[in-house]
Amino acid sequence: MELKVSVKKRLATFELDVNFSCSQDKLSVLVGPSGAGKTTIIRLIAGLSKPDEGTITFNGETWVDTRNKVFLPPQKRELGYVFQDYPLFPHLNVQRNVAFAAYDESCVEKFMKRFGIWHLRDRRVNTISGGERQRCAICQNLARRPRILLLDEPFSAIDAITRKNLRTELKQLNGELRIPIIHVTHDISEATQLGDELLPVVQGRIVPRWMFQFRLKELSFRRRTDIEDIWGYNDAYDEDLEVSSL
Amino acid sequence: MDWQPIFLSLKLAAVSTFLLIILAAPLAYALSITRFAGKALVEALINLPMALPPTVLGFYLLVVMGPKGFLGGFWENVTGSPLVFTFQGIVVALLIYCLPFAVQPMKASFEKIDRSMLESAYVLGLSPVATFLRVIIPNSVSGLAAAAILVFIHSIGAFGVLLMVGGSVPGETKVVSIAIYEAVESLAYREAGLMCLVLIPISYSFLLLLNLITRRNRAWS
Repeated sequence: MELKVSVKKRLATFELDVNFSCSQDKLSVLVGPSGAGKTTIIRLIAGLSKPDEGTITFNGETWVDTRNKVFLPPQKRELGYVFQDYPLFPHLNVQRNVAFAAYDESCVEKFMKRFGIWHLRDRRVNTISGGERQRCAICQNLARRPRILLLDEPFSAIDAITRKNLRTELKQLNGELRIPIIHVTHDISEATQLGDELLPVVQGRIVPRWMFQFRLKELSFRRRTDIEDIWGYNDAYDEDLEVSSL
Repeated sequence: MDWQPIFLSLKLAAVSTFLLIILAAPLAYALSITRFAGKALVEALINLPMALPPTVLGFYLLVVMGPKGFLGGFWENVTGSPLVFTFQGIVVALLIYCLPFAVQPMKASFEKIDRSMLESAYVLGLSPVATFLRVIIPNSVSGLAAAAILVFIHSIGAFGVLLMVGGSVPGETKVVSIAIYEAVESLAYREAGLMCLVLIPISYSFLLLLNLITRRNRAWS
């Protein structure tokens, strides 16, 4: 199973122009500053946005081909997408949320137990914490047996301990699911820790690692406030930033 | 006291509320999610019955629904009976008269739903229609309830439009508002007063329900 993406899309301040592929078993991480176009890339993959030009193919199946006017709607792509603000369905309890689009009911309990939310099964989603909602959203997407899993900054709004546990769980899942996983983050340490493959995104382009590394080194000589301005994120250097690990 | 007009009004309100909720929900949803040139014009047209004097609306409906009007002619061709001065006729008139009272609360309720929740439903494999039924409707219950109550209350209280389109045929179009008017005209004040007295608790309890729903909705948000 391989996802191939080659798309262009005009955004407000720059043109997104990316060309990359993600293969089975690989956890690819799109890493870059806020506003670099990471979320737009996975929205294009999910079919929630249309490119101006380009193709997206998955396992030989064409999802998007602007030249031949092919566009497969998100419903037919059979993918999982964990949104940044993990929108759950407030009229359903936790278990019904997970089972909302489940492939079979038995996997609902399995995933909920694995992610430690089985005891919350009867609770309404607006009565549980952010971390619990996040796990519920992950289970909801996994229960669907997706062919590809997209994660849009899923750990950005949760505490450090939960974040660490979820990262470990995600890494394990990656080995078990044998599907391409694309993880979006602006946290460099998270990217280096999780990713089998790093796809650094700067101004709508996927840049080579050496260029990204160089850019980071260059930034590290600047004053911290400048760095924050450029990244638009002041946690980027709070956790162990190891430029060499890139 | 003649109870027939009261029962007829309740029956008319129930039928028109049921039909209008079904018909107006997709319209309100379409208005809440789409942007197109001339949307303001369409919305103003939907809201026009609120701004027009009921007799003016009733007059135009009488023309359109009469035997020579396009709606009345079509109805007569299909069913073989006229549309004006019948129960079906006043139901149609009420559907148009009460349309804004159904569309506005539902549209406001649909607009409050987080877009990313809809996108999440699409990604999880739901078609737009399934998303509407499984996500939008269950999360807009208060808006739907508010719309239903408003339509019901306005249907009970409608007078001018119904008089123009339906006249006063006992058991068919003589609803309570028309019966009260006729009782007063014939100086039967006692009968008019009794019918008014019956209407007050009905309208009051529905308004109370509307208030409770609005308050609960505000507390949730």
